[in-house]
Amino acid sequence: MKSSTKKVLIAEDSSVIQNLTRKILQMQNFDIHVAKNGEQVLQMLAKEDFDIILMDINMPVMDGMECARSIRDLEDTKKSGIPIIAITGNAKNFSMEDFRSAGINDFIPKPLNFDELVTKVNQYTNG
Amino acid sequence: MEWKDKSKEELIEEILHLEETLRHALQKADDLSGRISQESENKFRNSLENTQLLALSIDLNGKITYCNKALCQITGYTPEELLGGSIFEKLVHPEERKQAQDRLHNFLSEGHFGASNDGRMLTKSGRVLQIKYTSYIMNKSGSLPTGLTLLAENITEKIKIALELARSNKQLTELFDQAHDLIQISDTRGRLIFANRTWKEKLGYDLSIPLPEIKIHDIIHPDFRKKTLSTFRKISRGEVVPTVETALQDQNGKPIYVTGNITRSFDPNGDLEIRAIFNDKSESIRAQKAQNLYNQISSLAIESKNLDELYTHIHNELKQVLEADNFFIALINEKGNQINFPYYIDEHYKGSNHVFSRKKSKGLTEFTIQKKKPIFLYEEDIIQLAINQKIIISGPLPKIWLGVPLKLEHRIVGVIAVQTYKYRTIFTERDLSLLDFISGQVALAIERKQNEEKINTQSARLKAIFENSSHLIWSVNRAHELSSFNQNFADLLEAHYGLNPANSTWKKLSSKKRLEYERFWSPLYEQGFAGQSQKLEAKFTAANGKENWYELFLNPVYLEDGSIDQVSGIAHNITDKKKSDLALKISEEKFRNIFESFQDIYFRCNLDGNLTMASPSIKELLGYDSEKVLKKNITNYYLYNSRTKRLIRQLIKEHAVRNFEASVVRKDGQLINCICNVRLIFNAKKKPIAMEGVARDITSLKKVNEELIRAKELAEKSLKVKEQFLANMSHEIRTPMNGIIGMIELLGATGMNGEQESYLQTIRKSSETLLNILNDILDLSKIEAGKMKLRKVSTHMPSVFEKLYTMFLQQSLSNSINFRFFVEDSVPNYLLVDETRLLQILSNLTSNAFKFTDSGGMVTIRLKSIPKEESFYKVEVTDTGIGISEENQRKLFNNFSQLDNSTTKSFAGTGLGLVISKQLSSLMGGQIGVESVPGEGSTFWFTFKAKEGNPLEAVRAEQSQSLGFSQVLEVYRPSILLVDDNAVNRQVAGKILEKTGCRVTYADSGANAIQQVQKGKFDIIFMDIQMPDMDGIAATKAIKALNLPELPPIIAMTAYSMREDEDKFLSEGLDDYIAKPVKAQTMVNIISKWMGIQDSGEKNTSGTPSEDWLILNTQTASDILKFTDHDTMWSLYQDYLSEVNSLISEISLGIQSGNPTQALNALHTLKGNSGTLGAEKLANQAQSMEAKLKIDKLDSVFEDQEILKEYFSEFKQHYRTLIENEVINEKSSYS
Repeated sequence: MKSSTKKVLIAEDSSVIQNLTRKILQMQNFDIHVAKNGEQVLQMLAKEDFDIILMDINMPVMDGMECARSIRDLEDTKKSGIPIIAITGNAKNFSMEDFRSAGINDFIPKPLNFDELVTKVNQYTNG
Repeated sequence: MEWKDKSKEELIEEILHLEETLRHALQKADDLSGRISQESENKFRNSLENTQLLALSIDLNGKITYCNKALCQITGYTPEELLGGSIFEKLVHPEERKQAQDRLHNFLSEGHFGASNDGRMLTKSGRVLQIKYTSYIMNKSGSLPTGLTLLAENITEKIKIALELARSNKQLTELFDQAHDLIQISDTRGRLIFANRTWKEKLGYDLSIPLPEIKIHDIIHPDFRKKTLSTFRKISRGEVVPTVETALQDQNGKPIYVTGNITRSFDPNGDLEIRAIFNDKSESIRAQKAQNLYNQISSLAIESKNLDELYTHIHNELKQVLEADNFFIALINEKGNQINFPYYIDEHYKGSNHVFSRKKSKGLTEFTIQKKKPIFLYEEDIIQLAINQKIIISGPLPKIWLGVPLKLEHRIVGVIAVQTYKYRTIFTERDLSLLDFISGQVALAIERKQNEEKINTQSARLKAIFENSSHLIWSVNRAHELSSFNQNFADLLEAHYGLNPANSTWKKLSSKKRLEYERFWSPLYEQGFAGQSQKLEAKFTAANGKENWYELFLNPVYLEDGSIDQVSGIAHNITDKKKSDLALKISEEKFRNIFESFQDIYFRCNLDGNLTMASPSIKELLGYDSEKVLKKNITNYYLYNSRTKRLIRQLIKEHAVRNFEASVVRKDGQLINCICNVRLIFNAKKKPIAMEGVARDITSLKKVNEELIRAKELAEKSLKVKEQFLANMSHEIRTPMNGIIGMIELLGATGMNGEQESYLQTIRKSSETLLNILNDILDLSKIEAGKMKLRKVSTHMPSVFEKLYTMFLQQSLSNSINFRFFVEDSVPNYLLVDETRLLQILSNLTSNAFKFTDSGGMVTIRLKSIPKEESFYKVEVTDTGIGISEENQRKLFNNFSQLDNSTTKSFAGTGLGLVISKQLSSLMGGQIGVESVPGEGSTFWFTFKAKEGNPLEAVRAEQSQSLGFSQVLEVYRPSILLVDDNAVNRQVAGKILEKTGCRVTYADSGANAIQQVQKGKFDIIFMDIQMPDMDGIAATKAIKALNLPELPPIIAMTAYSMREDEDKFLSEGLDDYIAKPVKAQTMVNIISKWMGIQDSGEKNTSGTPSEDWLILNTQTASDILKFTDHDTMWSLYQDYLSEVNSLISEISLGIQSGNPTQALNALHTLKGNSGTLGAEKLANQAQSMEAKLKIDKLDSVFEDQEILKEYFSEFKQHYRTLIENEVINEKSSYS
């Protein structure tokens, strides 16, 4: 049993994916918060802490990569150290090193594999 | 001449003459008118007085007025008594007086001369005279008659004579008629004038009617006609012919044989007539013929060659005697139930002899047999018999049927019969008698002939036996001279004594031979004449030294009186028998020896299982005496169980059972293991009559066998250990080799001076050679273990040869060897082959060719298809090298053989290349061989089978291969995870990869690899298999279990180069395989291969949506359901629909407004959420549009939009139903 409910911030511009991810992770007993773009993420992160951020790379206003770099640049080490998992439909356009250099810990390709989603979120919130 | 001397005819003549005279006179008188009448009357009277005629004149009242002397004299009256008296009273018989008076009155009233009349005259004494009279009327004076004169002739005597004559004629006729002779009279013209009754009867004329006009010619039988008519002519000429023999013929033409006299005479008219008096000789001739026939038949029996001829002869003879045209002989068979007709001639059965036989029934033949006497039947008789059911008529009905039983000693043996269909007079009872007469003789003749034929057959048989048999037959008289002998015996005498018995005797033999002859034969003959029968076997040695054995039988020949006249001998050659007897004896002895020294048990028993034979070995093996087990049942001697029960069934079914194991019971009760072969024995009719078998004690054999099996297992184990050792060793060697070669490559890149460079090259060469040897050994052991499998893929053949060419180009240039290859046009461009193995053979052969070809020589490689053999190809590698002798050619393809041991050093190699090539070509369905002339060169060839390949399937590989690594790099920058526990190996492989442009991440263990693979994205993982703690297979499984979004292919790296290992790796989840030590090219190839697949995969996803994409992949829906609930799922799809709606609008807006980024973003989102929710068609369409838009490829953008919309409406229409049918219903059915 988990000691406390983990907070997950989902940054995804597609409401469908957003809802889907939320529903799935809610079922897994995660506390879900959502953002529509990178700016919203930074705004929400400024107000509160999250255990993990799932970030769509391809987002309007501020894309995932830029957002990730901004997070890593935050002074609050707690906030800047939050595991970020990228969700991308163009995984091949990036190497793992590209992601790492942006501060993204891992990625989940689209179309989403729900098992993978759950596994990875669990993995990074329990570590 | 006196009247009385005159014949009647003369008298009549006289009277008529006188009448004439008188008439003249009377006429004269009339003329004188009475004047002279008286005178003439007187004259007349005077003349009457002198005549012998009775003259008388009466007046009108009948008163006698005149009478002459002659009258008075004859009547006894004196003239006085008569004159004046009444004629009627005196001279007319009282009974005739009235009549006479009337007549007179008539005469007178008629007034002229009356005709001559017969009458009677009464004499005085009352005697009646016959008279002939003429009356003349007397006219005295003119008109009225005064009286009349009668002139009469006494014809009483004439009448008497005439009467007598008539009587005698009658008597004569009667005499004629009653005579048995045939009497005929004919005239000179050959007309028959008279024939008597006998004649008429014989010739068949009706007696009651007068004969018609008949010519002699017609009544003489044609056979005799000429001669007889000539006789008739002679006789009519006056010649005298003593006795005439001829034959008349009756109206039916049947001959009547006659003898007789023919004379001529004249009839009263002086005409010549021929009188013939014939005596009918037919009867006597018939009798004679019958007698002849009788005799003839008995001689026919002797003369005729056979029965058939006899029958024909009998018939012919019979035909001489009677009308026997239809004739048959019937014979009863011995049983008496059948009648044979060995001779049957009948006009109704044309053709020759109608031979047949039939069962005894109710024919005329049977009727005759039944009656036991000759039968003469007319047509109507036969009909009557048939009506009375005495007989049954079959065949045409004869007019007459004559049948006579054939009797032999009161036994009826048959019937001879003659019949006619012509007319009923053809036979008489006489003919029947004739048949009867000869029947006995016929029967005898037939019997004689039958016997004769039997005897002939018998004697022919005897003669055949005598001459043609293989036996020697002879007889000797008391002088021991041969009285008969056949050719076989003559041959014996000729061969053994030089004696030709046909023209010499034993007494003329040379003294030596004669002694020899006498010594042998004389005692035998003597004993024979003493009445003893003898049988002996004797050996004769011919002059040529050939030995012959004979079996001889000698027997006395007894005469009727009991004396012995001759001794007969019969012998036959028994040499062969004797020889085979001897051989049999020897073989029997041999068999007995075998049998007695037989170590196994031989037994034989009847079908009941009772033993009839057992070899003496039974004593030693089982403890029984072989004699004592006989007649005992075999079941007493073995353990009876279900297996032995089956044995019997098997025996019956298959007739023989081999290697059957049974437990046999020893006399002491101990069981011993025996192996048996048992079979059924059949007689000539293929019926089983017995069983025989051999049983062998296998107790010790079994022990040996078990030991053998143990030894074999041990050996096999050892072999396995050795193989394992070999494999391990190669692995062990290859690991350091890996290091060496890798380091050499690295070392080479560090920049060295020339000397160092050349040393390094030597090290490289040696290492490579060593590696080749290792590979060869491993390949061979792989092949020999049957573990080499071909991986056939469609391959561009010219490229294969180009590769080969490239491989050896350096060598050909440096050695100045002309090197070329040809791929004939008949070979398809693409073939399904295992390129690696094909190249292995090719390079083996090519390398050999180079090895043995001196500088300036030539190596030519040629690929061609084999005519008439589909999918069969041949490669020839021809060199101009040293060549190979025939003897060496044979050794070439054997393991570990190098042709010339002394050249081993200069021509380095394991000698395994050709062996491996041979094995590989055999794997490819071909052969390998060499043709060579020492000193001129060799052609090594091999053949292989390959189907034509599909160029499309080969494109990728070809492209990837033709693609330089740098190109791949430019596009993909492959990211490699290299997993190996060995630092050296890691370094070698890593440096190679890095040098070829790869980005390499290292992992030194499985666990590390799992971490790395989660941290970074890799295109390919190279995974060492043998690692401590977690081996490559376990690590691979763990990585796969991570379900990474993009799982890279994992390639095994191992020193285990055997294919079975590879198969194992592949089955454990690894994607491919490379052997260690790794080489740069191998690695590049495999990366290209896998990158190539990814590349094309990328192309595929960005291309036109394939049919395979689904409207909705319901698996996704069920996955959502797994993590959420129904409501969520439905609301998600609801959200999706509204989002897609707005996304499509955005896309349209972006495109229309010239804002591709907007469209791209929307497409990207659409791609992502469609894929995630399983709307595959939409996802792919979005992806495709995104890709095109990215490169500003806008030519089909509007069409694509329409497709996108179409797919969206398709999805909206169907997604609910699909989820309901395939997700919810499925799920509920499981719950």
